Amino acid sequence: MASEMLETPNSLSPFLNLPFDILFGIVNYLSFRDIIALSLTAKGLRGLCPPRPSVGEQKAICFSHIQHGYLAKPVIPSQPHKCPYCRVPICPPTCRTAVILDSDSGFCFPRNLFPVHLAIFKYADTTHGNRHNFQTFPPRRRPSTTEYPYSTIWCEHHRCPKDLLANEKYYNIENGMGATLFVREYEWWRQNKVLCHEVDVGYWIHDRWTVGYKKPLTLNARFRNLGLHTSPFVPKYSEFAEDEIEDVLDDTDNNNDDDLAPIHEKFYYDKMCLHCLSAVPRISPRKDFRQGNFLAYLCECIDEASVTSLAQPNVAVNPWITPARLTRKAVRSRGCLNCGTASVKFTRIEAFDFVEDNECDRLTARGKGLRREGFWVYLATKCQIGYDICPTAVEKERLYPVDPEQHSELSDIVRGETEEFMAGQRSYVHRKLDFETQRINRIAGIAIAIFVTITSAEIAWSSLDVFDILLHSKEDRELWAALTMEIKFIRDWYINYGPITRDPDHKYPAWLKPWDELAVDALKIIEDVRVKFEPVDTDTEEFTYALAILEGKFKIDSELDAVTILDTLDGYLQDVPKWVKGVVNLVKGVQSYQVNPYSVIFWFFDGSLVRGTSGGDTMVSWQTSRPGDIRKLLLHSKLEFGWAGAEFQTQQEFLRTFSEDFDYPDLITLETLTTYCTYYSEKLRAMFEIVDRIRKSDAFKSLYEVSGFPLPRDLERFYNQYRNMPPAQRRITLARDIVTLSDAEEVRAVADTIFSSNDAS
Amino acid sequence: MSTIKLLSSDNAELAVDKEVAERSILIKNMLEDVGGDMSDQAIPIPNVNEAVLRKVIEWCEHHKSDPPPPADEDSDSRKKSTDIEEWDQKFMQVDQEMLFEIILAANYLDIKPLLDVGCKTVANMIKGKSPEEIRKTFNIQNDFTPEEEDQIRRENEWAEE
Repeated sequence: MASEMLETPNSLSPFLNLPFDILFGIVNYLSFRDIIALSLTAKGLRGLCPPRPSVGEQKAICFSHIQHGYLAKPVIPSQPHKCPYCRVPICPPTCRTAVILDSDSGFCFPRNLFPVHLAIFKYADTTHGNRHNFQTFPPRRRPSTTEYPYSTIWCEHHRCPKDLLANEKYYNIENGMGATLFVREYEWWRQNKVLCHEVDVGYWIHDRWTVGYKKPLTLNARFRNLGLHTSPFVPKYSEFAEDEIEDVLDDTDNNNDDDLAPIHEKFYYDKMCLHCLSAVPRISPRKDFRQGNFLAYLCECIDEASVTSLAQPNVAVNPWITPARLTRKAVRSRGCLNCGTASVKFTRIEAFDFVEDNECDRLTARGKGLRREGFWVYLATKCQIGYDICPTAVEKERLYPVDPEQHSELSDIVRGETEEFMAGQRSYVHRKLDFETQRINRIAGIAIAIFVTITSAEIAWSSLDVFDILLHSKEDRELWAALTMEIKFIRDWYINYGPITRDPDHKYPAWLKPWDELAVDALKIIEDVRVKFEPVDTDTEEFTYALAILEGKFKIDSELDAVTILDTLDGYLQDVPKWVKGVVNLVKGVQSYQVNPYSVIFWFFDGSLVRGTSGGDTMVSWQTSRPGDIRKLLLHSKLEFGWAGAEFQTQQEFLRTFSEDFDYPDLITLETLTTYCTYYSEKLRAMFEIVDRIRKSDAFKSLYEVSGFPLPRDLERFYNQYRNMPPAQRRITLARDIVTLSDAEEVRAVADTIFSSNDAS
Repeated sequence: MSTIKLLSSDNAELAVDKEVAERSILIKNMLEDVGGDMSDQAIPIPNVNEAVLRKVIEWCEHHKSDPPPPADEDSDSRKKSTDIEEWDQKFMQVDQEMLFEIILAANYLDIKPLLDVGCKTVANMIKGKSPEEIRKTFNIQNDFTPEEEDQIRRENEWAEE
């Protein structure tokens, strides 16, 4: 297997190449949870895992809790759960882009902040929406720390329609489901937070700021005629009388409020205990108003001993009217020491279309109780402290999302802005592919990096030293190796797990075309080389036949036989060195590929690096004798992306989509190269043996070195006739002569007949 | 102030103040062994290339006046803080390859404070992350088989109840 010849990605990870004493030095600064997380990243780091605490220790619960949380098994139910609001099947919490709506808090969590191994679908066992006891006031702590109910999951495959609350059809769902259920739950969450004094009432009231592009204001015709338009800038209002302002600014064709999007999204940061998924209270003076305790649940994990005693608060407080931040216990609490805490950003996103007044009235009239306000969803994002190295930065340390890409992706899902939803939701069969989505995304990510590198090279193709950099870039080598491993994993995955996740109606996707053609182009080049240099079986037979004749084992039946054989022999004696060189190049190419894939580009296109001096600077440029091919290849892929309507920034989505079910061509290329080389090597060895024997045969020596060789004279004459001709000319001449020879022989045959008849007479 | 020369693994000769170079215990011991006179001869540092050595020297120059670290630092106290000075934070804003090279060089040259800063920087990159996020950060391939993951789960089933 070609990929086995490559270094494994883990051997390329500099982190894993650190000596163990340094790793232990790093571990010294890590918390219990972080060490467990690190020990679960790769087998080589498993030894860093802390020893399992003995039974009875509180730490043992956390130990297990953490490990199970990280190793949550992807479970796909035999029958998919349906969203209680829009009745569309939903993905399991292990979906890569899952945004899990926590039934207890009403907040949305990504899977890395939600105990997916303890997650249960709230409406799984009931056919109606009354499971939730909306009459119960919220408890001050989570009802359970072993079950975390969720109401729905939004992800790249499912997201409730944005018009859920504005479209009447979602109110007519049986068993109390549909938009009605959402409104009830929403009101319950909202009420709880207000009742707990966690948030101000105003925090939930509709406020919407719109932001968008507005064309610069221009003066209308009247003022342009007055010569006031010479400045490209709009004159200040104060230059005109108040009643003239309307006249001065001509915005009839400039501004359209429909272009403006609500973009103002409030957010706040809070700290969350990763053991109980509750807010970690802060020590703060009374005046320090906390913008919102995100869950209305208070973490009471003071120390290890208190982890399991959540049901026994030490301080008597009125849970409904006393803000958590003021309780004595809260002040002492710091979250679970073992499981740790996470800094979380909560972004308030307007998840549904604003219900206009008339709609609201209509729906309210029907008893839906809908408010004229926005409906907000709070999305949690795990953050970490980052350092701003900008010298003018006011805040040197800031909180940044741990995974900004994921944050952006999940935010778009909650906003309902992904293309996937525009195009319609996918079938459940497709959703089953979530198992591998993560892998595929990694492939897509790597493929993008490679693509970007290649396109960069295309831009710099004429003079810059980009290729030189690529040739020596360790990162790029790792990239290719990682890509190969990922593809191998996907392939093995299909082998191991069978076609259960395959869509039986899966069509050959159109978006696969660019890569497919790219692969075809690459393989064409290899094929050119193969055709040019490959010895085929018939050649070997010719050689064997020629050898037999020259060794006197077979009789030559005609001059033509001899000419053909000698022609072949002569031709190959000239050509052998060429294809030996070709094979050597192939072998070198494959070897180089293993070291650095980019060198194959050089090899494909006969490229080489040239160092030159210009203006005192040494520059590295590369040149090729096949510029058309490389340009075509690169432009082709670029054009295909353009053809697909993909902007450069949106290519990630594009690539991610088409990366499903695709066989990445480079692996095939590598395998093909290896196959060819193996084939050539065997053929070459056989050919050398035969050629060697031909060279040593007496007949060969006599033909080329000794006069009076006992071949028929006319054969030698024929051979000499064509001996010094270039191969192409010789073939044309031979073709013409064969006809001539045939005619002559026919004449001779006729003559023989005549002569024999004459003799007989 | 006397100057000594260091010879990197790629044969680059770097002149550095003796006081600065002696932040490295390895070099300090070496100089003591030869009587302190290495002015005419470069000290080979075979495990460290020029780029990394320059970074290490930069750090040593900035910290040349720092008091020596306590001999037997309490490991618990170290564990509690991953705070890094602002200058060191900026110093460590390098790509991962360079970061690990610096750590390895600090380890080889026996510059404990630099090693600590490096370890803290890496620890900060790990903190609060899930295994998946750590893999992404350090380009680590998940090589656990599903069976091995199952095994780990089974080992911990008893404690979850």
